[in-house]
Amino acid sequence: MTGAVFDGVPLDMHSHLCVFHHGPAERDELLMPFLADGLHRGEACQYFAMAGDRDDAERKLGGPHPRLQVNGAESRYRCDDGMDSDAFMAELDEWSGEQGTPCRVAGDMRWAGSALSRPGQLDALFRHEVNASRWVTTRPVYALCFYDLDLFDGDVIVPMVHAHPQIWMTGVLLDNPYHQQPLP
Amino acid sequence: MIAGTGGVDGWARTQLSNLYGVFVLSMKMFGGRDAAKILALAATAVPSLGPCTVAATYLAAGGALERQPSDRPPDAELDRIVSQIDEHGSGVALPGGTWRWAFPLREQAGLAGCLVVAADSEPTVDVMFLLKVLCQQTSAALANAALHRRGDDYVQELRRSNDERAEVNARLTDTVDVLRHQQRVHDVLTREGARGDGEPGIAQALHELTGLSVAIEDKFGNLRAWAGPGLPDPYPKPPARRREDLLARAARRTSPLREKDRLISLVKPHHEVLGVVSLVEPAKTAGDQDVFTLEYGTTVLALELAHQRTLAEVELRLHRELVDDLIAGTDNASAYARADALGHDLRGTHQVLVAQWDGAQADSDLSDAVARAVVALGWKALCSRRSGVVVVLVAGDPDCEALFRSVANDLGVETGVVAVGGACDTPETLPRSYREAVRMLRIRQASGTPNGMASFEQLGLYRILDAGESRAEVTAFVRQWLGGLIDYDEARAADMVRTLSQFLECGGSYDRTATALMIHRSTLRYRLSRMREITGFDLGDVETRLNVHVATRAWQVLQGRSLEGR
Repeated sequence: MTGAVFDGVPLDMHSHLCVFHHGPAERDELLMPFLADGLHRGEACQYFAMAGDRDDAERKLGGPHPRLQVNGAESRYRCDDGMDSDAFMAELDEWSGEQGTPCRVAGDMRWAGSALSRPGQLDALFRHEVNASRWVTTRPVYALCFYDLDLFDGDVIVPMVHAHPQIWMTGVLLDNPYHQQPLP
Repeated sequence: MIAGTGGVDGWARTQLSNLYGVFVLSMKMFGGRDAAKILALAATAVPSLGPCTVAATYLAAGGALERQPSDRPPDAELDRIVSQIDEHGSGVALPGGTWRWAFPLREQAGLAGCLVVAADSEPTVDVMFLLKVLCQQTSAALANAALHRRGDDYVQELRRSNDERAEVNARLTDTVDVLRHQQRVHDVLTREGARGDGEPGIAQALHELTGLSVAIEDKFGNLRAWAGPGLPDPYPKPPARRREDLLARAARRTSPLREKDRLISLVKPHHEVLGVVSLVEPAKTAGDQDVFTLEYGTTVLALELAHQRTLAEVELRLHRELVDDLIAGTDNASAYARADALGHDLRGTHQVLVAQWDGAQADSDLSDAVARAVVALGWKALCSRRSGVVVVLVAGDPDCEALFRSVANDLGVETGVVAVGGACDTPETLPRSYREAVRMLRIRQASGTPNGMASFEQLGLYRILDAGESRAEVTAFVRQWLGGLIDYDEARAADMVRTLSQFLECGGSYDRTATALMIHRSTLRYRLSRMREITGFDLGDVETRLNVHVATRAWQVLQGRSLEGR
């Protein structure tokens, strides 16, 4: 059996993609088939959506599913008005460890970006993504981070490219061999 | 700035990764159309590439660089730096140690803008490299946006042009529809005209083309043809004055007249109204195409009626010319050939009739009435008109009394004579029949009963008396027997000869004579007494009575001859 496929391109296990898209419609076009395929294969899927999008996302995936979690991340992973990356990654690690199957994790990164205007948050997000790159190597996970180009500007795009080992943009999946390596 | 992991590998990884980020950013910039937004997006990336901030951005507008956003307060120092910009840029280290550099953003047409970057100290070569790459990508994105804008403008122009073309095409389509309709009208009505079904055919064609009921009336308002539902029964005929008013109003217009529930068009070739064509439309739904159809149908009908009238006139003229030549005298062969050409068989017995009426308003009234009567009676005849009389050349032995009755009914008066000449077996003898008819006409007009039908065959004694060869002897005979009374009448404006003639015609009956002359019986007795005194005749003598009777009849004939050529 082949592994996961994203937008027609096979992904390796432990992939961590930065997906630059334009708007929610393109996001759903890319994301929903990816998660639906995972559910179809019996894989555990977890999607961190904006609070207002959770029901819609679940409906698009065919309703509640025992292998599916659609969470609202923006309120759960804040700490002192900032991002609590450690807690986030700890929960993800625990969840993936319990599944016993490959896991597909996706996040609408608007939840992170909404706090970027505060000092230090961009660096926190960068560190979070670097931590995620390290974490995916420890679990049978495919991780996708969706960044909306209509919302994020150069101050986010450049460091997020730096933080991810793979970039998807305008239908092309590019490897980024020069991404920031996780600190030991 | 996002730091690398240190060492040569860390530096290179960071530099390459940032460069990769610039390229990804440029992909977003290339998707933009707005130059200001592209420039703003580039500015947001500057802090990611090194320890720098953006001091200002400029865009070219009207040949000069304009600070963005345009509502920012002026900065003389910045403006000075920007004004000195060359292809490599321009910069200065300010006294406080702040470093500023204006990076030019160029496109093919020239300077598109510039990005002014500030730092606490002059950046490293590596950072400068990233900033220059960012500016190059921004320049390319601005050029691409300009190109797209021109493309968009072109598309807009093309769309506008297409819209205009679509509008023209729509008008052309409408025009084609109109032309198609007009072509169909032309085809249907031309075919109908060629078929020769006349007014009913044209009315039916108009009904099929418009879907409306169609009425064709003569100029008096009498219905000539109707097509479609709703034929009124009885068909209403307006009073003459109202009809004339309607025709006058319609004649003043160049398009059909709407009158109550009808759209009316006059059939008026050569300024003569021959009829009226109407579309019956209670809902008043007739549109331009219906109006065109009505006008075209009216034109076709006008041509048809004018053609029919011309044919009738030509046929009538040919008939008249033939009749004129026949009664003037022509050879048999020529007469047969010409009559054959007109569809009349001259072979067999023919007679000449002449008719004259006192009550006819015009010669044409009498000739039309005679023509209608001939048709109504089913005669095979040729008609003409000359010298105030209508001449009819008719085959066989027709009922001329019926002709008189028909014409009298048509004209509404009986003050006329239909006189019939003798029968002829060949065309060469028709002049004789004509002369006999004319003589018979004059004799009848001069007789005591000057109206009705008179046949030369029935003339009896008059035929001898009217013989042209013995005119002098007849005149002498009349003078011999009636000269005294004629002179008396002329001298005293009396009526002795006519009184005597009527007395003898009435077989000597006082009562019938007085009644015929509309005089009193005693007046008649007085006149007869005076006659005996003047002439000395004894009417009781058979010989005398016969000669006087013959003389009075001859006198009538002579009176009739004197009227010829009136």
